[in-house]
Amino acid sequence: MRINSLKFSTLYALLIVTVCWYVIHLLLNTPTVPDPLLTFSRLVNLLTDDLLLHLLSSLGRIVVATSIALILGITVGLMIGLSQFFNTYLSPIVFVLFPLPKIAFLPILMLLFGLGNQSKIILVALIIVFQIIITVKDSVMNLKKEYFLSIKTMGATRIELFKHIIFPSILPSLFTALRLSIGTSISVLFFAENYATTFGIGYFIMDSWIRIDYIDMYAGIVAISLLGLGLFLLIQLIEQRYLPWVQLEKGTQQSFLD
Amino acid sequence: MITSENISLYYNNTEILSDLSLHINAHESLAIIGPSGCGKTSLLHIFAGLIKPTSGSIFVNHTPLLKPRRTTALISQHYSLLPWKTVFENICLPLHIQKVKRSAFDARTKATLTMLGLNHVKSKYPTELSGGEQQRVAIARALVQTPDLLLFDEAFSSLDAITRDRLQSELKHLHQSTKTTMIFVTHDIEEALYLGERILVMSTQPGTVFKTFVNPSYHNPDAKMSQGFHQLSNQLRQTLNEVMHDAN
Repeated sequence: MRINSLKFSTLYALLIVTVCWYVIHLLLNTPTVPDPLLTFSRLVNLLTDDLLLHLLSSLGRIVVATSIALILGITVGLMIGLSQFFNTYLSPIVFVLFPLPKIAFLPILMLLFGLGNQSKIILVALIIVFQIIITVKDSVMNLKKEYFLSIKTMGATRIELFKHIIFPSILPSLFTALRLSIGTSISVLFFAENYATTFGIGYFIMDSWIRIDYIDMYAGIVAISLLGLGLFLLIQLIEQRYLPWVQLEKGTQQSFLD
Repeated sequence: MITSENISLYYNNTEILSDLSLHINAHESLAIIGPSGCGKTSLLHIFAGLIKPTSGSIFVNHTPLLKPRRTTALISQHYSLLPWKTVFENICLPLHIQKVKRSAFDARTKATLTMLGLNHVKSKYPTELSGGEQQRVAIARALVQTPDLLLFDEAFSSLDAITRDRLQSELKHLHQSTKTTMIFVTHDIEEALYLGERILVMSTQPGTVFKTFVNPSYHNPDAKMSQGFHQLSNQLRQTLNEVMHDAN
């Protein structure tokens, strides 16, 4: 998908969602579904007030948690994918931990790491790291043997194998995992920010809800959605810019339902 | 060029190659043919220095072969081009790895692109190319490192007949002009006869040399039409039948 078509499809989707929202607002005629235009206008006002600070707090937590998850996930994923030893001893642990509902660990993390940012960041990182480990491991394990054979005959060192084969090969799946992780991390953060904090978009939404200020609540929901969408689009644009070959491969995939 | 003395190879307690002795002359073009699973590819990987034989010795230019040599290039059936690199980047990869100076680097890559008629696709990615073009890029990548030994592992088996014929003809021409030692592993009798000055027939697993044939029609420009080609083709077919019969 080229940048222009990405812009068009995003605007198209936003318009459809807003129209649907407006129709529901008209049909239900209740304060629990406010007018979207009124909400957008309130959102603009709030952004110049303290909403921006809430958004930046959440964004900061997401960026730090995702960075930790990426560093850990890529390292462990590569270890499992490239070494029989680590595959034997680490894979079963990842297999057991992956399906656990890690969100339930929030109280334990708060007890261990305190009520501040640390526990929330660790929770988000803990939830998305497994997705990254599994993605990286699978990408490395599915690499074609021929890539290694021909490059080894050129006299490539281990570092060169990483640089020319292993690292580029994990990037497409890593970007996919990152896109999925963004949605997950925002959801988790929304939950985590309801505890022991006064900053974060999750806190803002719940606080507005408790105050029965539905327009503010909706403005917060729109803000968190736009944050997710913005991050999602940013990842998409980076992928298009730096991984053009992935787009070419996707372009050659046929639609089986047409 | 290459001398293998009584080499054997075991993999997971299975004997893949058994007591195989062979000498390949410098500048020779050798075709290796044999039934599926007879160890042809393993033998090629031994020549590439990618795997070590379980026993026996292997020498390249009178030096024991202990690891891959930078002047050996391997071209496999699946091209092994890196999809994340453009044609130009794929071709100059060996020069990157061999730390060739930037000034020589570009000139050599451009000369190779021109030699193989790939200038028009140099900025494309492998997925944008046809099978024939991809294989031509793989050959260019092998040639850019000015190898003295080129190894082909069923390199043309996934190409259509016309592209295969054209590439085979280009390679034969290349061999005759550069005198690079070439070893072709194939299961196609016609290909072995067209590309090999000498043809080695391997036995079934554990693979060893069953018979070798000198190909008198190799230097004939119309080899495929010659009587010698057809006679040797029948002989090879018969020999392969014998190999299969012995195995049963």
